[in-house]
Amino acid sequence: MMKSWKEYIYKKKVKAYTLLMVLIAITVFLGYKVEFDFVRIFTGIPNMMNLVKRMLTINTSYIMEVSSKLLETIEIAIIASLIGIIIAIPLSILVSKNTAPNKIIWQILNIIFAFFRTIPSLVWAAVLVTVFSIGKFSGILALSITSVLAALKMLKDYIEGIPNNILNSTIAVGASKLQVLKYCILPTIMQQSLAIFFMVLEINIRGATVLGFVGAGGIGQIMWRDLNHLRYDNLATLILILLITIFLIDYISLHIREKLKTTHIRLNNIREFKLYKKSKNIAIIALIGVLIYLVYKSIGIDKERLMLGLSQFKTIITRMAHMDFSYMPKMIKGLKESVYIAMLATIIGTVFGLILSYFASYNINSDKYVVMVIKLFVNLLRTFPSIVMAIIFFRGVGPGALAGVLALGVYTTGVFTKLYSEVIENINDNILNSVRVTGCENIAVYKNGVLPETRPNFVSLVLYRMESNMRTSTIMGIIGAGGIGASLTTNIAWRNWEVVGLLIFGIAVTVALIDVLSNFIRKKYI
Amino acid sequence: MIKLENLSVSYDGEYFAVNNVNLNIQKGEFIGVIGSSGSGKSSLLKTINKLVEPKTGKIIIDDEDITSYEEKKLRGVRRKIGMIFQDYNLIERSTVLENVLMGRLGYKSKLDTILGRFTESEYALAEKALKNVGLEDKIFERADNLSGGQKQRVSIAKALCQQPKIILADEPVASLDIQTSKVVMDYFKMVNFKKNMTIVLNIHDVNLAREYCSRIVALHKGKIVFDGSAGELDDEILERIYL
Repeated sequence: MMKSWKEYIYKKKVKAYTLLMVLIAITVFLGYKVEFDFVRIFTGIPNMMNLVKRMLTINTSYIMEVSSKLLETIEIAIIASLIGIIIAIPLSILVSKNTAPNKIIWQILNIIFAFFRTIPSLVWAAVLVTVFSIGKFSGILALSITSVLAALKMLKDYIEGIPNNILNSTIAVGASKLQVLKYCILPTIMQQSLAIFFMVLEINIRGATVLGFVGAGGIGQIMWRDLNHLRYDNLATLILILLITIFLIDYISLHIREKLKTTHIRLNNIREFKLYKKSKNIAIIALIGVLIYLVYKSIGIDKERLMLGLSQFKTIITRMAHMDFSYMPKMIKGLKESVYIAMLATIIGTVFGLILSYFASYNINSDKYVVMVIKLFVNLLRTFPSIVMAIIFFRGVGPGALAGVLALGVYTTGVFTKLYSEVIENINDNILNSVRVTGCENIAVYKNGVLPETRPNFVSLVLYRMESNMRTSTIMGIIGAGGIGASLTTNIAWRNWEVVGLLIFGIAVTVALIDVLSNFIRKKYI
Repeated sequence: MIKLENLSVSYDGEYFAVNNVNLNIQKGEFIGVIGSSGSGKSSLLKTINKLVEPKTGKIIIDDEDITSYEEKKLRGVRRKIGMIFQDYNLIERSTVLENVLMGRLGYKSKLDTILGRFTESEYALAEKALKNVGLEDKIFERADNLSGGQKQRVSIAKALCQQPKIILADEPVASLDIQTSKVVMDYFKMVNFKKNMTIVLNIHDVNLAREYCSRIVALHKGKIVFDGSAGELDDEILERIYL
């Protein structure tokens, strides 16, 4: 008996140490590849501080000057998010395994959407700006496309998570597929749709800044102008405005969702019930009508320009399809670097995120003020667009992958901590209490209760961040922070569509490979 | 009413969740299916309305062999069978009335579905069903505001609104406390008595099964090991069932 215990503990230790060694080896290898250098980071600190200091001198008079552009950004983001969610809801039924009417359509659509999801919004915007000229319309269209794709993925995951018995309880009354959809799935996903709308809106507000780089309207356009003119005070003002906007959206989103949960319209009889149903339907139709009108108003281009744009679009797509394979060696080099950046940033983010989550969870850390401060700090980290963060690091450590790793690492730390601390806060109290009653320290509750209990969520979050970092790392190159992005933006600027086609294809294949790998790991460890 | 002939269910092709079951259920019977976890109770029940596809055997409902029925024909059969689940499976964000009206979906055309139309008599039916389970005052509440016992009564009302000939209930009281369980079981008994409705329910509480059911069927590893009246169920048999 004793022997088997010893054997068990020995095996467990060997497993843990091997895993740790492998992780360290991977980190060292990645560090070597991106030329990670503590001395370079250390000596770069004064430069970075100098930049941050210049950013801290906020130019308040600038706020009024850019308010119209800010409103334009919000308008672009809201319209794109609404379009995204409205189109994504019916589509999500077709791409979710448990609701798709046809297996072949399900498979084909999933492959198509997975491919499109790998294309960064910046690429969409760049192509659309070329097609429809600089301005709001291209921005709305680019963000709408990415919003549909993002909302679709989130809805699909949610629908596939609906317990089978809920569907069965509707099927069992003899309901058709259409009825299951209308009476079971739609009401179930409605609340989630609202949450997803706000999530997409937040992504879009942040995304709008990046789109400005290629001239797709909104506050981002001025941001890039200020950056080129080295007006860091103006830049800081813009970032501050963005931070406040995103915080406000977070607050409004939370408030509306809470309100909807508790609001209940009092109905007294069936006649009132029918009237309520009718007015609800009319309101939905009216909302879609208003949206169509808004989109029409903001298009701002005439029919001729639209037709011309569409014919140009056709040319671009044809040229993209004729990929220039002579660019392959350069592409592979860039892609490799992007993968290294994404992986190392994920490791950095996960390690710091694990530590910060301990302090940022209300049910683990008893000091409420510390929790609040950490939560605020984490929100700051994730609200800073990673591209702006890259600019700061670029200043400190110079051009190359390292700036990209640091920027993405900081951003990942923010997002990971936020998501993981929310997972922790949702753990059933009894599980934590069952560890706590032994009289142990808080850290033991974290290690022996929280970590084993949330392991599936943890693995899932790490993989999700890895996939997302891979996508973001492809655009880091815009400002010279390494990876495939540099080639991508140069070739878009030069209108080398044959090379752009190859690069998009290369990015898609790489992202798809990482998705396959993470799905494999997910299945194995969850 | 329900006839199962040599029925077998297997999810992986190797292990049989239901193994060569023969069962003949008459109209108006109140049957309790007992057995330990994993004995095949749930699979057996779900096979009756073909939520689970049988591997071999025949399912005969109302002298109609439905074993090879496809989607469309199956809908017609499912209309006649109300089903109640352990976790209630209500649409939490919809009102109690909307949940109960869902019992009528099997009778609705495509156009009615798109427009969300129900007739006056269907509304009246839903109201009556809710009255039957004592929840008429909760009619416009959202389902997520109800207690567990109330939720289960709403699913009974939904099944009643369907005007079925048979009610299948998969562990309907497993999530409820003993007092609420009795209230819910009383409703089943009432429906069985007043409407002469056939009821088949899975239940893990043997005492409740003895108290309410006229006939008890026990499963062990997918096979029927006991089929008789509640009075015949003695400790020796029980030991064999839960071995």
